[in-house]
Amino acid sequence: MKTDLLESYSFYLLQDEAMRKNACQAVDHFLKVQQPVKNAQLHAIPPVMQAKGLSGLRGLIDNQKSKNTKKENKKFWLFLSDLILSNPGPEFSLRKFLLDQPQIKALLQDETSAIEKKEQKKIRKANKAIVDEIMEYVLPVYFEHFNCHYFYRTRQGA
Amino acid sequence: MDVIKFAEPILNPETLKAIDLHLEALYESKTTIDIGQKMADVELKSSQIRNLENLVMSTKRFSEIINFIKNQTGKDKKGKWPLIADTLLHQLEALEDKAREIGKDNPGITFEVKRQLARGWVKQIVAHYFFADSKKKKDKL
Repeated sequence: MKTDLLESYSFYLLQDEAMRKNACQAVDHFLKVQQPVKNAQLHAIPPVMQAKGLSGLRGLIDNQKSKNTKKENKKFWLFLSDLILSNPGPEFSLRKFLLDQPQIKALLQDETSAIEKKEQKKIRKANKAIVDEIMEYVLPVYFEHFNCHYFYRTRQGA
Repeated sequence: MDVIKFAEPILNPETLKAIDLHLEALYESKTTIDIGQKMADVELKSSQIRNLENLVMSTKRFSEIINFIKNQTGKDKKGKWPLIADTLLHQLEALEDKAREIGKDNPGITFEVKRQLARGWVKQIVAHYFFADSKKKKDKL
């Protein structure tokens, strides 16, 4: 079922259009409220993701957040942490965006359908695993949108 | 990005006609001629134009074209791409809207129409860029 979704044209268009808009909105939001960081900070993201996926990105974000570095760099990595790692995260977070998509919602089980707490927890865990897997799949394209829009906006004087 | 594992949809004659009509209209309105001219005026190198053309002709994902232009703009220290990027991005968004209109609610058709429109669009731009560039060089002599 999940594989069917990931290989469908509608999901492909979702990554191409709606997810692009979501990533661009996140960049615009960051640049509106924070000082821009140097492009080098963003250049670290694609190779880490290619090598280690979501767990690699999680490691990079946690590492950069805890580094004794410039204040604006720290704010940038905190922003990315909210955007990618928090659950469900702020309004423009990737996870929230994915959870709002009807075709993804259709893959998830209704937590309230279980009476026992233990069973509800099990459903929650299973749902999270599905969304994590979808995130892992879309992250390279998401960060292509994010990074390119960031470079473009900062070059245009944002 | 992974390669798409499904077959490309075959467009029916009506859809192909709608694509051709839109590309003709683009040419007549000088949308692509003007941007090709501007690319020659800001002295973008022919290799940069060929890179854009090759990407458009080979990519399966429309947003890769948008991201290519944004990336070129972001790293351009000579300030040439920033002079044309907004126009190119605006034109691509208009193509995307047109593809949705032609493809109606069918994601597979919309996906393929986007590709075909982008290919026709870039062909017109590249042709005019090389025409304008060679004219410019001749005038200099």
